[in-house]
Amino acid sequence: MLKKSILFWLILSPLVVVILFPFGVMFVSAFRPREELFTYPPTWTFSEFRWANFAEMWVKTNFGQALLNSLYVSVLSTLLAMILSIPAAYALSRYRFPGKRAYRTFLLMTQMMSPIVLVLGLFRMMVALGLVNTLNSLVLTYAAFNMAFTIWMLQSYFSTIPRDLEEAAWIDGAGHLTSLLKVFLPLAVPAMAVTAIFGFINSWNEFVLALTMIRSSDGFTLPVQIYSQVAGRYQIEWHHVMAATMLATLPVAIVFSWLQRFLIRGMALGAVK
Amino acid sequence: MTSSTSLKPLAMILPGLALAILIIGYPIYDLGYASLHEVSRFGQLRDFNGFNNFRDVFEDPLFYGSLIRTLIWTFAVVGGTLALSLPIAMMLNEEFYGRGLARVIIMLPWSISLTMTAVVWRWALNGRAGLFNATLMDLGILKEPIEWLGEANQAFTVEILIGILVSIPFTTTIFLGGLSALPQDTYEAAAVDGATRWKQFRHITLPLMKPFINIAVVLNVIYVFNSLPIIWVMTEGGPANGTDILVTYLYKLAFRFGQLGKASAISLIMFGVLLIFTIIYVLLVMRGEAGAEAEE
Amino acid sequence: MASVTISNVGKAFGTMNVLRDINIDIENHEFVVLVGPSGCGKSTLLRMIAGLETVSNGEVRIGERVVNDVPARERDIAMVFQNYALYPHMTSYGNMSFSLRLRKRPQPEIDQKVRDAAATLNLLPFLERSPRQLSGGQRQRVAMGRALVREAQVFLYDEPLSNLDAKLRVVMRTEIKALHQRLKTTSIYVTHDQIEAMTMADRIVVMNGGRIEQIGAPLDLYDRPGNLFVAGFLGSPSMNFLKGRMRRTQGKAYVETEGGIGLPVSAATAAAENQPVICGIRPEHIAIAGEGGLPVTVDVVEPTGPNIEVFFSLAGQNGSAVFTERHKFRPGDRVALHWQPEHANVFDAETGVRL
Repeated sequence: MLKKSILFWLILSPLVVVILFPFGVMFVSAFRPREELFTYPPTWTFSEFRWANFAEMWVKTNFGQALLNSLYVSVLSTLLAMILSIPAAYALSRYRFPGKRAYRTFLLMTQMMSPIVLVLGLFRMMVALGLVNTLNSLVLTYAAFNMAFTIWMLQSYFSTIPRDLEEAAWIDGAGHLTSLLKVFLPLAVPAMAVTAIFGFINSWNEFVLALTMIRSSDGFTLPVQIYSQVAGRYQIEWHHVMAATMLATLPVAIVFSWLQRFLIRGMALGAVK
Repeated sequence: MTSSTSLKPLAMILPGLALAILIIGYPIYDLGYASLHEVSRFGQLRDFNGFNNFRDVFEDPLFYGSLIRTLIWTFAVVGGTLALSLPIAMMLNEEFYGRGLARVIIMLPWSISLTMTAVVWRWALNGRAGLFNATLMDLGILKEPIEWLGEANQAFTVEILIGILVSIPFTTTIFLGGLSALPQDTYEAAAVDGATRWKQFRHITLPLMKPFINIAVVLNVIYVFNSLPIIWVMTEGGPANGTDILVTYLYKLAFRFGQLGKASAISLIMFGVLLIFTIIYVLLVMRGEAGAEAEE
Repeated sequence: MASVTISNVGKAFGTMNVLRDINIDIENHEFVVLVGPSGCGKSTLLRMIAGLETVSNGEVRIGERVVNDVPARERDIAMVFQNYALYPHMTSYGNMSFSLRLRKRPQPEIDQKVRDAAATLNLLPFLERSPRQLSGGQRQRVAMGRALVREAQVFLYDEPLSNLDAKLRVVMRTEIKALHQRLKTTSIYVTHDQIEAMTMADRIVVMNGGRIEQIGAPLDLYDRPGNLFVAGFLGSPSMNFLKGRMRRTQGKAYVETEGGIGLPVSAATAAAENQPVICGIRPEHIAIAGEGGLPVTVDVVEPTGPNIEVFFSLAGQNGSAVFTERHKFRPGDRVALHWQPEHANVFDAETGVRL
């Protein structure tokens, strides 16, 4: 076992280094004093942890506003997607109904439709609806594009909750609503939470639609705001960019690392099968 | 079943379905309509112009360059990802010290927005001050710093490698799901029958994993084919359109140059390609389900 | 408590008829077992009585009330599920009190009823545990307890013992029977295990392929099965079936096999001379003959402990016999057997009906 562990870690080490490398870069560049960014030849060493970089960055890059925008869009789109997905997933896992097969096919197909191919049409539609340059355009589109994933994931978890629990509740005297609230939902909450968090991360990280729909910088979400700090500028304040990137990614990376085993289980349960 | 019980599930799926049709269905219709018309810079539809937009696309040398690079990009990223992900998943499926940590690290790139990853790499690969050069020079591999993103072919290669890196977590997850479902007793039987580890891989793992490999191929092709942020953030398709793929070219046409008719035509062409892969995917999933139902 | 009447009931899934023309009258206080091979429709029938499946045609009545369109929760029935269906997020107490809480009974009453049921089932030490902390047998008891506190009109059991190991199954079987003898609640019990059916039932309903093969008291079905299916399904080791033609001489009746051997059967049988029939004889009714018995060759001998089961061939057909005596047979031995003519059943070789 020890020999095998050492061997495996040796084989994985190049990949591990390449994965962790950008985090190192982010970390070093975010804490470095500005002067040390452009020393030549470049080195990894730095003289001090300059926390002031973060404070400066917060003001200069308008980080707070972008953070609020990202939170608004991610929370609302996830909520909307969940409100629409939970009944649909329940119907898929519990009922036979005409057109069920066609509906599942439709879900699979929408899961494959990427925003980029439709972005021009979506933009024109949002113009027509008067929603361009509003965060709500992102709420709607993110919810729609996330729904295939959330429905799929939820229904594979719902299907693992035995039907006979609800039947037992009916026989015990519960109506459909009571059995949903007292028996089904308490058992489904963990699955719903996990699914919602993955939906949230998807929205949080989305780039193309946010770049397209939001025209003025007060509405930028974090990825677009950070992108705008490096795109088409002669002078890029890399220490600010790296500080902002670090602040925007670390919380999500930590939550994701904690939850990734649920994703594997969801896949094993039938998201892929 | 009475009619009320079959109406209930329909009522439950309807709201979500309506949103999906509005947000995903309508733009497809709109793109189709726009692609057959002359469109002004500001998005007003003018006259019907038949297939002029499509003709413009097919007469454009930049389109062909982007198309070829899209193919290279897709095949290289998907191929590289698969070649690395299966052995990684097989290792992560075995017990060893620190497996939990290894899983977390390998999944890490998935959690980070492609935009952020690309921004950090762009900085790390900076010719004068980038820490990538610093590392290689510290290790004595490089004498002089290299401007990694300065030349198109080199930049494109780097982008492909980063594309592989960020696709590994998702692919490994699919494979781990598949591997965890493989029956352990089959391996024990094979070991009793005298199969070596290589033969076990060749004759048991690979055939049993085939459905998962198929799905990983199709899903990755779809995702990679559509992936904009890495190339957009690192080089914006430049220098001199040398790293443009279809999505970046499409985006430039639509939102930089205002050639909306032509952009609609490219969108539709890409939609067609995507549809083919999507249909393959749907067939694969449905076949898998039919198989699972037959087993029950 | 109430009777349950099932009249002309059928069930179709799409174009597939899984149940046809089912008629059963279950009396108040009766313990009825629905038994049959898997896929015979017994669970579907039970679920229709419970209100978990719709009734395609016919009528289900509980007491005097037609319940076809009454939802499960208003039928006043209790059910024990095959996989117990315990609510995993509630303790044993929570599971057992759930129905009473739904009905908003006063807390002291709930407490009293749950404790009474728990005492009956030896569950008092486990009331605060959650289902995953319980053993299989304990879960089974909690599932029973959940039904018990209800004081429902009818108890329904859907293969409740099939997930238990063999020893526990025998214990629970006796407990359920003892419980019924005390409470006398009308019970309908579904199983594929003929021993459960035989030991527990007041009456057995044998089902096959969506139809009822026979209804009757256990020993009646065992001794006088109405057809080959019932004869073969009940009893282990199962009844021997030996083919031949009906013969009568000098007031005695026998079934003549192809090799010319006469198998003794009751003269009262209705079969006609020379009719192709099947002689059915239970292994435990076969004995060693002193003189002039039926010549058989021993193939395999299996000692089970209380008995010795001997597999033999008789004129090219296979059979088995069970002896309590410690005979020392060896494969290849030639042995003479006989049985009392009135123990043998005669079935029509074509229709399988008992003659």
